[in-house]
Amino acid sequence: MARSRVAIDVQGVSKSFVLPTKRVDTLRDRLVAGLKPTSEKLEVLRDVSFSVNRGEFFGIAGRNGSGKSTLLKIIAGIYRADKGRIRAAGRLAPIIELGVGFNNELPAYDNVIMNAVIMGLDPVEARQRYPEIMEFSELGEFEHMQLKNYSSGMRARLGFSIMVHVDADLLLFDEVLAVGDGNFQEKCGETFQQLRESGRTGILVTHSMAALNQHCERAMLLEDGRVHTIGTPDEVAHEYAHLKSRTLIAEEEGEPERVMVTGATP
Amino acid sequence: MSEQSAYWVVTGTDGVTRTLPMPGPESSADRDKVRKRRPRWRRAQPQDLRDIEGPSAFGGSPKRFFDLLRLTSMQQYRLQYRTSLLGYVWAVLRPLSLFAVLYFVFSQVIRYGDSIPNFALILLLGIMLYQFFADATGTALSALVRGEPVVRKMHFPRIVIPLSVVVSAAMTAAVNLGVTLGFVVVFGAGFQWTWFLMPLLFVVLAALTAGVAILLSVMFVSIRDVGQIWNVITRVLFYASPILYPLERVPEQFQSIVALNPLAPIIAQARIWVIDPSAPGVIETVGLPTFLGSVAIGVAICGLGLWLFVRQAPRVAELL
Repeated sequence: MARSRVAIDVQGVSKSFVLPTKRVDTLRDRLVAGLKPTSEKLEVLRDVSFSVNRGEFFGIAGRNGSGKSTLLKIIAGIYRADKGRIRAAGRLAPIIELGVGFNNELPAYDNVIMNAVIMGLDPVEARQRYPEIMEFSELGEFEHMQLKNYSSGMRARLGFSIMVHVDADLLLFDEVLAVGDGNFQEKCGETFQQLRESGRTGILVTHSMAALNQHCERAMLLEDGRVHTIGTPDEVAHEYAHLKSRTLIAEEEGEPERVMVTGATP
Repeated sequence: MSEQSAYWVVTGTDGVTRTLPMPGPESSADRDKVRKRRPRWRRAQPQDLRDIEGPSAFGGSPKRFFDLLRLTSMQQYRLQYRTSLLGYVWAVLRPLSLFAVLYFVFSQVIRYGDSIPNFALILLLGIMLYQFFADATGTALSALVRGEPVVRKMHFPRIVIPLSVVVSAAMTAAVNLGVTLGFVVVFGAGFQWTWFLMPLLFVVLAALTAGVAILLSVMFVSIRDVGQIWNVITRVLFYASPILYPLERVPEQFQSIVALNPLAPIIAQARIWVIDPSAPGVIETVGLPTFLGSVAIGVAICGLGLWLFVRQAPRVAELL
């Protein structure tokens, strides 16, 4: 089989969530609710197709509730798509949030090993790479401290350092650039550059048109679960601005914007 | 270099107290130094496209599954008693204190225990085995819900979450059984060669516990009442298992009901192998059909748990 130029291929992916209109969590709720339907289907993604070439950084933009995070989670294998096919060439590292799964009672070492293994490294590789990870995170002097004493910035740095050291071929970032101080963000930017130079492929979910421009070759705009535009970051930024201004006008004319409510009702 | 004015005094997990500089704004010289430390990344190699499978109970390769199970179990085991003063001692003290109270009531106050040979040892062994089952299932029940961040934001084989609870509880229980054997030597029948068969029985108990644990953990995600119901059931199971009494003491018309509880044959057999090889055998006492019925119930629970978990695993992240 010829090596494909495509690194991530998404074809016709649809996904809907069954959202409870009233939360039925207990038997009592179930008895009270009886057999009345207590949930409705919300289509989050409708027939989304795109592909990302090897070595490319691809941006996904869209407004809140447009389905971009859901799409990323489906590619990452956290949610299952209702329809469609997703293929990827190489190991994926989903970076939905930095420092997920860290245990507060344990020092850096245990957390680094655990996280690296979850992200796909062998335990032996994880131990070998530990010094590198600590050096990159610049947290070497805090390595014996329990993580509960880390600031959120330090956690983010440690998390980021693990993520970029797990040797994934395909990296999926969900708004991770939005955390940390300026220094950290600068470092993220540099790291992205280096990751691109080393031939890695990335998908970047973001609100920030500046980030799209800076890091991505191509980008996609999602609107209401559908692919709106696929093109250069400039084109996507243009469409995004257009979309936002249209919504503003629609709101002034009294058309309410759809609001998604999740979680328990009081 | 920038001047450091703020410090943290921190006691590390290695017990050493350090004074650490608070990370402050770095000077440009610092930043240049950092910039030079570029990680050595290997070049990404072109690979073939493969289908991405959605989330599942076991997820990915068996090696990754076992690596994660081992790491998570060890982590939980170490964390369990870490923050308490007496640490691991609590794991032994808790069942021992229950034993002490029950022993006092039933042998000094009610004087019922006098009529049963080796009453103290039967009670102690039963409590240790039961405590493993109750602790592991009770903790595993809410494990998926507690592990929400990992389930919703990382690619993680879901079944590892409840299973690691059982494995870490089994490690505690293994030590407790060792302590129990010590008591048997000091107060009772002494060493039996059948002790070497105990690991077999322990594996059966662990398998049953794991089956119940995965069933409960996945049910708890959508029906929170399971927590309350299980609370009641574990209490009933304590009295419905041959812990406070040997199986042959149960009136015959109730014997098969007691023995249908899958824990009962395990605890009864443990008594025979550990304490008293001359005690009447389980099958002799309750009859073969009842024994097989009990085994069937145990297997059915494990099967149901596994089936439901595998079926629900892809959707767990959405249901939480």
